[in-house]
Amino acid sequence: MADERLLLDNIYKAVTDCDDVACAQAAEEAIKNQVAASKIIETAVKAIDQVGEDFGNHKIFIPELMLAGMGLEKVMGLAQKQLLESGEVQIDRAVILLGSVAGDVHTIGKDLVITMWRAKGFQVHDLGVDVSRARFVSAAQELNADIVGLSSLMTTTLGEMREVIELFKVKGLRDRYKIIVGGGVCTQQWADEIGADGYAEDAARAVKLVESLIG
Amino acid sequence: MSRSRMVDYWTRAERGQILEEKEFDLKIFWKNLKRITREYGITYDDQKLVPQEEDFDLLDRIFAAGRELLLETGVFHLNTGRIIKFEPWEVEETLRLIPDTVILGTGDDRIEVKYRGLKSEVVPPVKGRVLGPQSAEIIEKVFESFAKEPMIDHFHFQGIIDKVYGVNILPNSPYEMMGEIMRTSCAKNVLKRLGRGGAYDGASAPVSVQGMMVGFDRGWGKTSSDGGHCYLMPPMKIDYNQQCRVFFYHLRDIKFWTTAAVFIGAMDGPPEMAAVSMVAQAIAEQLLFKPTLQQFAASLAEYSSATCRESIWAGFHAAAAFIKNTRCAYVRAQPGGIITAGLGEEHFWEVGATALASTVLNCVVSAGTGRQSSALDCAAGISAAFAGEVAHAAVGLDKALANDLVKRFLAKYEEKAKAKVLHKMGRNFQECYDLDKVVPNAWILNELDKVKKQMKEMGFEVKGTSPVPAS
Repeated sequence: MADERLLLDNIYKAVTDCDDVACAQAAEEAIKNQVAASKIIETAVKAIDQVGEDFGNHKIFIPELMLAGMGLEKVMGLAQKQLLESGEVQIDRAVILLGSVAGDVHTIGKDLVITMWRAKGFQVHDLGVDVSRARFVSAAQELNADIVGLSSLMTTTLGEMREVIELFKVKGLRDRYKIIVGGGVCTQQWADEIGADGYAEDAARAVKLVESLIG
Repeated sequence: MSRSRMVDYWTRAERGQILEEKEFDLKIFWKNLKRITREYGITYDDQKLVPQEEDFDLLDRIFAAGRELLLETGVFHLNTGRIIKFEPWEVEETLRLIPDTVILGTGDDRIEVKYRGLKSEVVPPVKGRVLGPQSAEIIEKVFESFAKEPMIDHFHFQGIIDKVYGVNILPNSPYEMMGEIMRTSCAKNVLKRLGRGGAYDGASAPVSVQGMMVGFDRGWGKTSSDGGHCYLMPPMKIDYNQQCRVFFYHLRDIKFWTTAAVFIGAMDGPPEMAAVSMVAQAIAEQLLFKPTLQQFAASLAEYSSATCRESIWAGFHAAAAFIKNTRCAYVRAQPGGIITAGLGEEHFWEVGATALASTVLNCVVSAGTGRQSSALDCAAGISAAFAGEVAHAAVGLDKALANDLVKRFLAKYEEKAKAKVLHKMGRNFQECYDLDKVVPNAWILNELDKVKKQMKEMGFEVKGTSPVPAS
């Protein structure tokens, strides 16, 4: 049986190298060699913290962060499956949806926030861009969301956020979800005006916001 | 579409290699960009913001790297999910046929822009840009503040009116079309009233194609002497919306612009990679759009600033590389008109830095809107007029001296940008203008004077034609 330390180091390196393919391979190898899923997860989380630090120090950039995030998802997915099969405790992760509102096709900020949320272990569903009001509502119900995130980078689409919240109210679903907003033209004042549960100015603050809402 | 193979290139989006968007972004574009930038030895020097003669080899390498990036990567079509690829000879042919003269506007406001390489001998064109949300009750006065400034020779009267009949203007709604009619007719009325009816207006606000088209009306609206925009979505992506715009522009012989835009720190990486990416995009835009005006725009992803050190380096190096390796007459190096600070001292330093660098590199000079173009009522003509004044003072300036001055101007606002508070500085239009006479008030003129005095102490004298303050 391969050395456990080496197998975990391979996972750590694959994540910090931002190599999503190597992440999956390293995680599969570790599971095949009966490394405990909890240790795999612990190693992956330490690695993604390092990735976050490298990103903050401008050693890597968003594409690498996204690749690391993709790698982390693969590692976590395999480890979770192992936990289920082995009967160990399953980590219950909050479910977050995020999409750019109808008419808005910007992705960069949204993708960065998604990557950082996933890096923190949240289960994040990317609804994409130009998401209709109805889709936000239906997705929240289908995916049993805890938090619904709305992104807008254009002044012309900002108003759509109010409409999304209004639709949740009309459907009698407003109290079931936390609805948060963000994006280049969004402000705390706007969030308060439309009755959002939170606003984050940037991706780092978006992580803190979600952590505070989940509790 | 005259003298272009554009339609042939477009049809490749219906037949090219199929790929998922994320695969294109992360496995093709990003990996190619990183490798090619390294292979060409392109590095970012944070002390050399304005490229000089000794840097011309670097400019050639940036251009060659951008060209190779395009040839290896192609352009991704968002509707068909396929890649458009090009042959080297197609790139050479297109670049060879870029017109070296551009004419904008008509009559007394007609301007002729000629290719002049990187040697600064004449004042470049000066563009005034109104961007971001504008209150319906003030937008006409904002437009007037620009149209009244003789320094400004062409315009982008954008500015978003947010509501029509109390309804939010959303993209693809009839209200967007109504909003465009309101905005365009307001801009045209202002120009005519001030005797500048022939001035070029390149404004392009609507998200939808129908919203854009409704503003082009030979009777009351924009004509073929005006412009609109189209983009490649970053990184290196096109869609039917952009193609429809371009098709309409060429049908009507409209003088449209495109922008090679990057977000430093995001999909385009650090400044050196961002410069290569911009060149690749610009060449792709020439192939796929055949625009009249070519623009470059670098902004930090983390803090939307086009006037920070990294943005200035990337934008001006990419633009200079393009000028040096083509005969493109109209090139703008930084996001025209988008200044980080609101109207006030810091705003003028930002305008000074970018206008000076633009002038010595024969790039179009542009200013007009503060607060990152995202706050209400933050555009004013005095911003673009000052850019023009700086251009007059900077013509023929030695590039090494220009570089030194740009760094000294940058030092006046850089710390606030790093602290991410620069956008909170300054004031809005209503706080800077006499709203009856539509002239700058004493406060904003005093802010401008403070900057000019300090510039003069640095050895750079900007002789003003600032308007008389309200009495």
